[in-house]
Amino acid sequence: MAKNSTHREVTRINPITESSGGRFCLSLKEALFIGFCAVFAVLTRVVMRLHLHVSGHAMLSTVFFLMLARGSVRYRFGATFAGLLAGTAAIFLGFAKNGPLILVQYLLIAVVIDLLGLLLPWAFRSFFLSALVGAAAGSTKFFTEYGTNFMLGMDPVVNLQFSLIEGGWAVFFGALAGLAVPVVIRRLKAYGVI
Amino acid sequence: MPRFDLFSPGGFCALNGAAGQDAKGQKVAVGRRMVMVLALSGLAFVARTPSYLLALTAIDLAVLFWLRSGPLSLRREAKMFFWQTLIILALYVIRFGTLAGLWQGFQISWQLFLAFLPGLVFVRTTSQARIVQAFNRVMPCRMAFVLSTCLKFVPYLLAEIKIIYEGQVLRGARILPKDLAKPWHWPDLLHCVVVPAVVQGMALAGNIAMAARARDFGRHPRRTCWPGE
Amino acid sequence: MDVLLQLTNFSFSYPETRNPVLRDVNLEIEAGRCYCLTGPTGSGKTTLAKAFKGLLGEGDFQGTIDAPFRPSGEEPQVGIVLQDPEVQLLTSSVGAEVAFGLENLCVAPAEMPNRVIAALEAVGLDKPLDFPVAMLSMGQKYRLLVAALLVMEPHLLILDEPGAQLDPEGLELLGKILLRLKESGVAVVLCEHRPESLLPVVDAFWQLDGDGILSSGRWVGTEESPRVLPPQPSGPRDREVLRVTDLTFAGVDGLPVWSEVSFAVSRGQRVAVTGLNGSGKTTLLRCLAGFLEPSDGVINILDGTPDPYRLRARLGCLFQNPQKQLFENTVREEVVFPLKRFGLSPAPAAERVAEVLDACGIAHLADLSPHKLSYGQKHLVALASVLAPRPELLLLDDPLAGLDGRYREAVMELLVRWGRERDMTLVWTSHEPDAWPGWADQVLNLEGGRLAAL
Repeated sequence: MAKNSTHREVTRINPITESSGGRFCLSLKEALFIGFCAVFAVLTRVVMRLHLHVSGHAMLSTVFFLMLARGSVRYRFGATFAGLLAGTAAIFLGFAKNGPLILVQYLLIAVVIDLLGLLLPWAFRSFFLSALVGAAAGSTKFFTEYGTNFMLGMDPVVNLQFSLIEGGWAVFFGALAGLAVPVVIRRLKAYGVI
Repeated sequence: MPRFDLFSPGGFCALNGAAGQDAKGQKVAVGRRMVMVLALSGLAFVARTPSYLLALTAIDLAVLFWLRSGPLSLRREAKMFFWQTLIILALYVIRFGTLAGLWQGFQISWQLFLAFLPGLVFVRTTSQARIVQAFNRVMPCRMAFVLSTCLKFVPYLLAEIKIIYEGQVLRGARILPKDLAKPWHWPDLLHCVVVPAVVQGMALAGNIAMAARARDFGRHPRRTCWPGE
Repeated sequence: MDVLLQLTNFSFSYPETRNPVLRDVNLEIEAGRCYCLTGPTGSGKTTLAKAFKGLLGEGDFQGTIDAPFRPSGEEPQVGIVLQDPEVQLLTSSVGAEVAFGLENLCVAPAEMPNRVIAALEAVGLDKPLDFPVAMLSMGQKYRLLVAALLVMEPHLLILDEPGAQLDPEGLELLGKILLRLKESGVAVVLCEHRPESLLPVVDAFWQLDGDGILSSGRWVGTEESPRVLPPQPSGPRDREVLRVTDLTFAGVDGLPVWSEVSFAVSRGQRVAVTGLNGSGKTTLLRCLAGFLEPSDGVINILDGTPDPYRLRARLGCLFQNPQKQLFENTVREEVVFPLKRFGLSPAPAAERVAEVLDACGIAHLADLSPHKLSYGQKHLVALASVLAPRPELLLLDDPLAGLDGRYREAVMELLVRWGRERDMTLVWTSHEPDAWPGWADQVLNLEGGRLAAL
């Protein structure tokens, strides 16, 4: 509130009201961008399954878009937010091969990305570190497979072998996705977009 | 000749195997359906005997029959579980020898199938609108808005990306399908399509945020809900 | 009249820019009056409009924006319709779209339907509440947006460039709506650099001069009037480069977007395809380039069928908003990219880049990042990168959209000159048939799903 020249109270309007986001605060624009990353993480997975029939491909798009979500904004939990949205989107769109458990899978991948992002903030601009983060995120596939099969009562040796096959491809594709992320992040930085 | 096009709004919606409308069991609230589905999935983890597995299979099929609204094909999922079963059977045979290994492997595969079938049935037989309404009740309103808006704008963004792609093809970028068969052409896809697409995504996010704030989104911590038509 | 908003010495600068986009702006907005804010592209009209609503992002401001007669602590309700209605429609149905603002204001659900219906009636949009937004025409979408703001009972309504979104009929209807709003005490601000169609409702004019200074005055007309180019012979017509016969394209719903389209274009000709927004002009260009498959008919383009793989060194294409395609770090790299891909060696490529940058008037920008240039400069960079490979046939999708007078002239003169000097055939689309009279050899109009020569 302020007073004008006749000492009458006036309402002062702030022309700038939107926060631009920060390390622990997400602006609406950033939230929507992360939302797009999440939805594309799900859609590209489906397209690859429909057209390329490539085994283990899921990690390529998932890790790429979740890392992009984290690397493009200042918010420290961008990947986790994207993972939550992606899992929910997968359920909405009916692409959840594993039903509601897909949410757990996306969240695990996302949490690994965010944790490593907290420890290594420059990881998303370095090819080597980014590939490492991608591989680590992909390795969660081994643990989710092993955990699920363990609960089913699968023989431990068979479980290990089966989970290693699934996890191995996931690590490979996760690392590949990680290699692509710095290319994009560096360009965005050069353009002044982030 | 009409052809399937993921980039068109119709193609995008057609990917969802669910019918747009609810099944006969539509009187069951979405929340209760989810609980039922989770319970059935959970039971699969403890079903260790053939009779238990048979009973659970019968219950799952009954639920599927009750919830479906029309012809529902699970061929895609069956194909995927077939290949998974083959791998598991092979590993069990290697581990235990022929007969004992085969039966154990088959039992585990059967359990896996029953663990995931209820979830598949849920998403394929419940309309998106009802799922969205259910999630809107439990998700923070900003998150619900972000997700539903992003889903709505995906066809728009895909159309933008398609125009970028086509323009870059004619500028000589090696991104046609026959180009991309060679991995050394993949950087062109990254630089010429992915990067501009990400920039467009950010710009679109900014414009949508502006439009939402122009109508006072975020003015209050919670929002009420349009009751519908 | 009550003063709703009062700006006193208001200035605003965007981050990392030297000059403020608004400089010591002083104005008052009174209830029940309509103001027109004009100025060239980039002069700050949209910035000022956003400031009224409090929508500005990062930046520095000085001065004040006050609401003198509001009860303490209460800001006036301001509604704003920005440019590009497509990205402002946030839901799928008419009712939900109008109710979006009420949801944000925490209006009780039971109250919403009546208010939504009243708002739709106020703008004359007679559609059921569950009608899909995607099926509305552009004019209807614009009215829907206005309804979505009116339902929130604004004291001030701001419309950013309505003329760019609406056809003459739509503008006339909008004028009537604005008159009714004024009578009910709502203030209106129009940001419009060509307000001729809405002059009857405007009470006062403000102009931004491009240096951030705002002045008020009378409307005297636009300085841009379409130039009539002297007849330009377009070279020998000895060879046909494009022939389209009975072409039909069906949309997603199976209904034809256009049908039985036939025309031919000879080498060196300049052909304009006009039509309203949504008539299928872009779809036609994409079919010619081979990216969309028509449902019937034959296309013969550059001695063969449309195949992007075959055509890419010979056919150039500039789609709308071409700056979306820019991805390199400098202007020079952006323009040389297609030359590298088409196998030109470095020395001749460098020469060609210099030639085309010079022709476009952007040689001084060669080492700058294209992403930090103005809208018009980016447009020229994109055009330069498409001209550099010297295509035989150039397709341009509304090449003047979004450009103001200076850049429009620059682009048109460049295309005409370059085309004549290099015997390049031009086919471009436009939603403004009268923008550049006399410079096309052939003008074809897409209307009602048919193509006819004008």
